Order: sequence, then structure tokens, then C-alpha cells
Amino acid sequence: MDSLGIILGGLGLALMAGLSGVGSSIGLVTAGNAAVGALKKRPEIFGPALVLSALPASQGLYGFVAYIIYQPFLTSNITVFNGGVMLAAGIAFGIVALASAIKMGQLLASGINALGSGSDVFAPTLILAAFPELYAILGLVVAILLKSLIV
Amino acid sequence: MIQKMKKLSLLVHANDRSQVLEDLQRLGVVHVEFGKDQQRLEILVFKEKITKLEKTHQFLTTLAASEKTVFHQETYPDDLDVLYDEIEKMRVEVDDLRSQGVHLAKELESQNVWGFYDAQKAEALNAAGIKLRFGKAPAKLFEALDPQEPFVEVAKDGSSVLYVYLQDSKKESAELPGQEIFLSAGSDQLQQKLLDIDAEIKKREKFLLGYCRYIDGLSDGIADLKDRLSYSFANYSLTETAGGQVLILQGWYPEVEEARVREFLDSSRAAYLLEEPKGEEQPPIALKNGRLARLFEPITKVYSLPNYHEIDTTAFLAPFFALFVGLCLADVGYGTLMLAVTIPAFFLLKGEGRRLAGLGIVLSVMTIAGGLLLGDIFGIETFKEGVPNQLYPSLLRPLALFPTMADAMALPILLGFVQVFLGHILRMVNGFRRDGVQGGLKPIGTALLVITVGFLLLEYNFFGPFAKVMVGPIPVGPLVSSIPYVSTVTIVLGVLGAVLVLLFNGVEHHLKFYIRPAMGLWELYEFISQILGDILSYLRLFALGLAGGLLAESFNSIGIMVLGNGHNPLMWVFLIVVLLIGHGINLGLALIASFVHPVRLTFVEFYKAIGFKGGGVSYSPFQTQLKSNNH
Repeated sequence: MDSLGIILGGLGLALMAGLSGVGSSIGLVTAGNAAVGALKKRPEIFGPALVLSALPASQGLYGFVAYIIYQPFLTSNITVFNGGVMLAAGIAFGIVALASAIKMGQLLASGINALGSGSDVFAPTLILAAFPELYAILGLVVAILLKSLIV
Repeated sequence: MIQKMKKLSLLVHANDRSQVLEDLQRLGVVHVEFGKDQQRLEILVFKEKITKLEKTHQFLTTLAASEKTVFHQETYPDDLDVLYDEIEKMRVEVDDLRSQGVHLAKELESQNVWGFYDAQKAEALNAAGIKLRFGKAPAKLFEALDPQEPFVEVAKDGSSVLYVYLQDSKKESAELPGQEIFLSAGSDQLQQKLLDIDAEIKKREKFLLGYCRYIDGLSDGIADLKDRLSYSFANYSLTETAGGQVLILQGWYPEVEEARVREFLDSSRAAYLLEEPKGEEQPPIALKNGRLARLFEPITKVYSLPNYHEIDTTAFLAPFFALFVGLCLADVGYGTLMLAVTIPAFFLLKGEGRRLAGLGIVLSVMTIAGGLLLGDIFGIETFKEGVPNQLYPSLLRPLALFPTMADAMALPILLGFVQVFLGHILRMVNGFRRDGVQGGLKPIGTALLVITVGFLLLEYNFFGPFAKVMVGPIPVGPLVSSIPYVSTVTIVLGVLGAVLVLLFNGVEHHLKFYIRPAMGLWELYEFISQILGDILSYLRLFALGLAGGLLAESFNSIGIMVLGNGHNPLMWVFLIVVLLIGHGINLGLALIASFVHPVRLTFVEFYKAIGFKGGGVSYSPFQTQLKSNNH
């Protein structure tokens, strides 16, 4: 049993699921707050506001996917090297997902505010919000590619 | 599918203006191209009136529904504006009374701490020489007071003391320690006031209920106003020419209505021209889909209607959307519960509600299908070892084609590739329709590049050993690896795709041939940087499905813990309660996520592949609503 490997691997798992979850939660609250404000002005935009405000959930979901992918490797006999790979994946993906979800929430909040003010910006907001999310997906790709290093 | 439209140009003599417009409105099939002159006072007044009356109508309808009584309908004798004013006045009064009531109730509640305060007795005491004064002081300050002084502690409020000071009426009023509190009236008086207010509110509510007999009349009045508003729109959209003697009106009508339109035109005194839409023109959009695809039209409309020169995406997004929802929920039990709600709703509801219930039935069936494919019933998974046949019926086990975690993860990726590829094919069709052969070549290039990316990911063992990659029973790896010279084929497809993108991008913008390669490089960069992200985005379906399944399983575990050894019959009741609440919460949360994320995949990944532009204006014929209401 290599306790350092377990610690590194555990940290990696915690970071990939935890940071992405925290980011998504903050992003969802930011966008959700904006949606509530906008709905006071224009209740008829509930559908678009619901779709937009739910988008920052993506990073948390990717974090969950990353966790599912890596979780089988966290065993009692994990090596330090494998634990290190998991930690690297956790840091690489977790930080990107955290920042991307928070910023995505802010972008969506701006879009939802504009919707509330009567501007028809649902489609542009949806497209623009996909840009910061792309980097969370790339973070997930990095994590998946790093998995191939595990021996 | 988008209904074919034809353009109508109408030349009307100024004298026939109103007659032709009235006839056109009665015909009810022409979508008039409204002019920019839509801010006229007359139009603004109509709009304001409609808004006001719709508000009143909504109020009365809700009131009538809350009473659960059928009101005999009558025609309102005066102008509907009077009705609005009367109802508004009454509503304002009711709101005012309610806020007074809330204020009084709060006052009474805060006064109750002193017990029942009888203002008359207090007055009698005052006359007898004792004036009651009320106060609130911090406990320390109160304790420090001279015990000889007539302070009487009534109650404690946190760290403060509420007290009564018995003052000699003849003496001059001294300042009380802490804060003096003035009671405005006796408790009985406050209670009486509250009762009076309640009676006043009830009186006015009874009056308001009386107005429910005008709901139908109000509907007709609103419809009439809308007719007059659209008439005004049309009227101000007429363009004057020949010194105001001749007026021109332009509009669109569905080609299927051509016979009716021609009959009307031939019998009218107006000259006309009927044309096919030209390249840059944007006729209004009337969707015409089959019964099943029509259920998904509200989803298409959430983003935007397609423009006239694009393909209607509804029929193409529908199967994917339904499948995605099915994979997100993926539970036979949940799907059955949803069916139990949506089927009765479909038969009980009418209009839009019935359509939504129809959509609900389709999504419920897909949830059952998803549950069967992934092997999940109320969170009980077929692939888990030791799950007895009683819990997961052995009859259904062969249907669980994607039961393992790896299968469930690979399936959304495969679906992502298929949907994105289909998107590029639709883009090609759009390009061919709009710009001829050249317009469709770049999307062919990007479609080839999608295949190339898929092959490359397989060849570089991104999903595991190439020749062994299976998505459930679908032999993706063996199929691709069996292609002769697959590596060469991949390179050829990639090069061909890149060349097509480099040479035939920007055809829709009429880019010069020699500029295209430079712009094509940018397009290639965009494609390469985004395609992997687009495909991996579909993994959210797996994550949502798994999260829902794990939560359901957790509630099952809690239920089993509650049940214990099962000897206590009461525990079975608790088990049912835990399962009902737990699965209820899980299904509610999963339903929201299962709608939002498939919508996102459709509008971002799929629409990006299609190059969807949208911006279509809904076909809204110039017609009389009042007439159609009466029908």
C-alpha cells in the first residue's frame, strides 16, 4: 500500500469533482439571480431564462464524468506515479472548470438581463456561453488523455 | 417543413381602400407586410386598450376559476373601458383594504404582548388619577430603577423588559426609561376594525364576482379590438403612389391557398401581381410537419423560426431530442409514471395543453426505451451483480443493450457524431438549395472532416483498442477497421474535406476564388478547435443519466434501511413514504435537467453544424379574430 499514491489520487479525484461542482454552483446562482430579476420585468421569458440559467451546470457534469473515469484507479495499491497523474488531471480540469463555470455564469447573467430588458439575445447568448465552456471540455480532454499515462 | 409562400402585390384605388382591406381581412390568409409607420397614436391607443382589457379578462377568469361556478354570461351594456375602470377601482380598493388589514393585524399582534388592552378602562383610570404609560427598556436599565417608582414589569422581550408606568395624572409627564410605546387603540377596537375591513373586502369581492358574467363579452371585445388593430396596421402599411390616387399593399400567402386568393382578387376591384419569392426576400414562416414532428415545434420556436431559405429543423431535431431526454432520464419506472400522468392529460386537455401532453407521452415512451436500453427500473440496475429477477424482470434483461458504464458513456459520443454529421449534411442541402452545387461543397468537406476525426480517434485508440471498440452491440471499431486501407482512407477523406473547405468556403458571401483559401484556413482552425469539444459535450447525457440513476439508487438504499428486517408492518408504510418522496424529488430534478441539456445540445452543437441562421417571422394572416372566435 502506497499512502502517498492514495493521497495524490484522492486529491486528484476531489479536485476534479469538487472544483467543477463549486464552479457550476456559483455560475448557476449568478445566472439564476439574473433570471429571477429578469422574470420580474418580463415573466414571459421563463423558457429562455430557464435554458440559459441552467447552462453553467455543464462543468459540474463534466467533473462528474471525469470522476467516473478515474474513480476505478483509486485502489489501495495505487502507485505514486498513478496518483500523480490523477492529481495532475484533477488540477488541470478542476481549475479550468471552476473558472469557466463562474465566468460563464456572469456572461449568461448579462444575457438574461438583456432579455429582461426586452432585447432578443437568447440565441447569441447561448452561442457565446459555449465559448468559455469549450475550455472546460478541453480540460476534460486533457484529463482523458492523461488517463492513458496510468500504468 | 416550411410551407411554400407566394408574394401578393395589390394596387388599390384610394376610393376602394377600406372596402378592399375589409374584404382582405375577411379572406384571412394574407400575411401583410407591415410598414414602418406603426407608432401612430391610433395604433398605440388600441395596443394600450388591449393590454388593459386582457389584464381585466385574466383577473376575472382567475376569479371565476377560484369560485368553481359557471357564471351566466351577459353583454356589457357600456363601453368596455368603463368595465375596466370599475374593476380597477374595486381592485385598488381591495388591495388598499388588504394592506390596511395586514398593518392592523401586525399592530394587534405587537399589542398582544401587553395582554388585552381595554382603552375605556384605561381612560376611566386616567379620570380617577392614574395614567397608564407603556415602555420598553433594556433589562439592566430596568433593574436599576428605583423600586419605589410605580413601574410594573409586564413581559420580557429578549434582553429588554416591557413595563407599565402608573403615573399620577396630575403630575407633569417625565421621560420614561428606554423607549415609550404608544398604543393607538384598545385591543377590542383593533379587532373590530379588522372585522370591518374583512367585511368591506368581502363586499367588494362579491361585487367583483358579479363582473364574471361579462367574461365572454370581454373576450369578444378584445378580439374586436385586435381586429381593429390589425386593420390599422394594414391601413398604415399601404404605400401611396400616383399622387395618392393609387395605393400599394404587399403581403404573402401560402401557396396552398392560391385558389381562394385568386378568387378573391378576381372579384375585387384591385389590380394584383402574384410572384414567387426572390432570393433575398424573407417570406413569413408557416411550419407544416407531420403529427409527431409537430409536437416538437415549440422547441424549434424557443430558439428562432428558420428563415424561408433554410430547412425546417423540427423533423430532424425531434428524434434526437426525444432520444436525449430518454437517455437523461433512462428509467422504465419513471417513464411509466410519466405516462400515467401524460396520457390522461392528453385526453383531458385541449389546444396547446394537449399538444404538450402529446410531447410528454413521446418523451415518456423514450424514457422507458432509454431505461430498457440501459437496464434501469427505479434506480435498480440490471448490470449490478446480485440483482434478483423479481426486482429487474429477466424478461427485460435481453433488451438492456447498453447496460455497462462504458456502454452508457460511449453511446452519447456515438450519437454526438451522428447528430453533428447530420447537421453538416443538412448544411450541405441548405447550401445546394441556396447557392447551387458550389454552395454545398464546403459542408460536404466539413462532413468528411467529421468522419475523419471519428476515424482518427479510433485509430489512435482514444476509446481503447481500435478493432475492439463496441458501443453496446454496435461494432463501431470492427466496422471501421474492416474498411480496406482504413488509414489511407482516413487521410484521403481528411485531405479531400480540407480542400473542399479551402476552395468552397464563403460561396454564400460571393467571395472571390483567390480569397477563399485564406478564409478557409480560419474555417479549418475553427472546425478543428471545436469539433472535439462539440462531440464531448454529448457526454452530459451520460452524466445526467448516471446522476439520476445513482440518486434513485440512494433513495432505494434509504428505504431498505428504514424497512429493517421487514417484520414491522409500520416500516413498510415508511418505506413507501421514503420511496415516494425520494423518487418524486429525483424525478422532478431530472425532468428539468433532461429538458434543458438536450435543448442546449440541439441549439449549440447541432445548430452550429447546420449553420442555422433563423430569424424567420411567424406567418400571421390579416384576419378577423372575432369571427373565428364565434365559429
